[in-house]
Amino acid sequence: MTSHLQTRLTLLNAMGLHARAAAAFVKTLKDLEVEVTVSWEGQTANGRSVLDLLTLGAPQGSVLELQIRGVDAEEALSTLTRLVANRFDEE
Amino acid sequence: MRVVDILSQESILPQLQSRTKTDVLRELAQHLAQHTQGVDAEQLVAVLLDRERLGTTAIGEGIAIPHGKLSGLKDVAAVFGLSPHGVDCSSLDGGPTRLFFLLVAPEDSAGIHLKALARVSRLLKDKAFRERLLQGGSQADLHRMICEEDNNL
Repeated sequence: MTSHLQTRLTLLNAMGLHARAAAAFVKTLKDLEVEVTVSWEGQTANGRSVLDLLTLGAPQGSVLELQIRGVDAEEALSTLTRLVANRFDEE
Repeated sequence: MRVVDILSQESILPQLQSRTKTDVLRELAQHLAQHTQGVDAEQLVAVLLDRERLGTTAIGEGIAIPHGKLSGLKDVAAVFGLSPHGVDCSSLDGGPTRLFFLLVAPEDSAGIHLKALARVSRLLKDKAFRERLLQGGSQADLHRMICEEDNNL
């Protein structure tokens, strides 16, 4: 069943949503049937595109708003939440 | 921050000669070192290769944004290069990489680095613009195209 979930995630890692973090974000969604949009400060990016995520330039402390749609929405929500809470395994 | 604030006309390489990722990084680094005071090309190559080991900066859509931090650097410095043939950089989408935007930031500059990365990503986001760049041109032609797009962001 397709679900539509939303959440807010705070960037805890010192570097914010830089290239490696954005790549990890996209990789998390690789095998999931889901659409993710990420909004911050009036800008919106496709959560499956590293280039798009980088356009946000979201630093440490940013609160990202996520809209997640698709059959794998719940799994996407939990893995993304874990990834961000774990500071993208950076520190 | 605008892209043209960090990218001069001289910092554009309209035809990269290299055919491998490591050689492209070296070609970009040597060019940056020639035009930026206090940058040692070999040191920069080492920094870039270290970063690539953590994961490729070839983010897909034919784009790579190799980057790193160098102590002793005053401001963010950049080089933009076009590869006529495309290079295998183990990109995230598996495709060849043709647009290379090298970014080097001073140490302790997470904020500036992120802003530069965001601006470059915004510049390269539009597919039609990327295709215009890929048609090529002189340093001056490419710089003009980048200025125009940068002004519209």
